[in-house]
Amino acid sequence: MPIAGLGQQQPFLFHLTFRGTSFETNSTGNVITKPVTETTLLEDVARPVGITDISTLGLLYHVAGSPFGDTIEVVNPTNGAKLDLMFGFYFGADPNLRRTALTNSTGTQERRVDQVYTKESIYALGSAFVTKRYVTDTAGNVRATFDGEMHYLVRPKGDQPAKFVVGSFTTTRPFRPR
Amino acid sequence: MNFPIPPMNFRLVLALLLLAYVVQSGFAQSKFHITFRGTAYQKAPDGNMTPVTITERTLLEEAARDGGVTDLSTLALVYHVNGSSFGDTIDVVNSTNGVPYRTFYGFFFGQDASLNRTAITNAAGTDVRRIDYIYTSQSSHSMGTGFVSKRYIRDSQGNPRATIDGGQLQWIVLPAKGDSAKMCKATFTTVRPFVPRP
Repeated sequence: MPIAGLGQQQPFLFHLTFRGTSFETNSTGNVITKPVTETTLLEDVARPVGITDISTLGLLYHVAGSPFGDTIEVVNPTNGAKLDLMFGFYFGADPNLRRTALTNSTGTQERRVDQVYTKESIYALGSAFVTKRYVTDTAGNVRATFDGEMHYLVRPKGDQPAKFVVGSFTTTRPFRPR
Repeated sequence: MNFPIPPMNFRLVLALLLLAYVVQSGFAQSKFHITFRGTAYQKAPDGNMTPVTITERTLLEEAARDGGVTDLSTLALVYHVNGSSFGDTIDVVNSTNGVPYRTFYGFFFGQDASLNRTAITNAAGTDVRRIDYIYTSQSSHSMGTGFVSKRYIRDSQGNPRATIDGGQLQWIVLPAKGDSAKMCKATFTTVRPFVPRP
C-alpha cells in the first residue's frame, strides 16, 4: 500500500543505527554473546575483502531498495552508490503468501513483519517487525523514520560458526551525497 | 541480487494440516506452563493504529470464546516440546488431563539443511538457540519468526530441568472476525512442567 507523503521527491536513503547481540559458540563449545552495531556490521563486510578503513563504507536503509521491498545496504558514503546488500526486508505484504501489512487510515504509520533475507540463502533467515512513520513538520515537509526489531541467522563460513543476531535498527537522518 | 520466492514446499502444506491435528499423548516433561507477554497492533474503528495487550490469559480467552468454553480454569496454555512432527508448539490443553484442544503457534523449520537453516547448541548440549518460523492455522506459509532459547540444567537434587524462552516473537494475524490484520510481537517463558491433575 502506498504511503501518503512519501512521494518521488522524498528521500529514500537513510543513515541508521543498529544495536544488537550475537549468539555463537566459542572454541570451548560455550554459547557466547557479542555486541553488534552498525560499525561491526560494516567491519564484517570489510574484513573479508581487505578493507581496513571502514570510513570508506556507509550503511543505509534504502526504501524500496529491491523490487521485493526495502533493504539495508553497504554504500559508498560519498555518493550513496550501492556496494553490497546487507539485509532485504521482503514479502511482508504479499497476498500470494497470505501476508499483509497494517497501515493507519491517514497513511502516516505502517507496521509490518517482513522476512529477512541475506546473500547467504534464497530462503528467509529471520524476520523483522518494522515500523514506518511519516510526520509532517510545521513547514509542511514530510519526515520519515523507520525502525525495526529483527533477528536472523548468519550461516557458518570457513572457521566461523553459525550465529544468531537479535537487534534493532533506527533511521537517523536522510543520506545526502557529499 | 534477486531472491525468488521459494517454491511452495509440500511440508508447509502438511504443517498447516498438522496444526489442526496436533494431538500427542503423554505428559512427562514435554509440556510446560508458560507466561506470554506481547502487543498486537491493529486498526481501530477510527482508523488509528491501536496496541492491544496479549497475555496467556487473553490467548486462553480467545480459545475459550472460539470453542464456547465458559470456564477458563478448564484450559491451560502450554509450550509443547515436539507438539508436532515439525517441531514445538504452543497449545491450549485441557487443564486436567492435558489433552490438546487447539494449537496457537507452531515453531517449525528452524533447523532444516534444505532451507539453509541451523540451530546452535553448546558442546554440553545444555544450551540451544534457534530461530523458528511461526505457523498458525491461518496460512500454510510462515507468518513470522521467534528467537527461542532452550536450557537444560539440573536442580540441587540432580533432577533435570528445562526452561524455554521465546525471546523475540513477531508474527502476522490475518483479518478475522471483524478485526483488522494484527502485527504482533511478544515474548514467552516456561514456568513449570504441566502435570495432569489426579
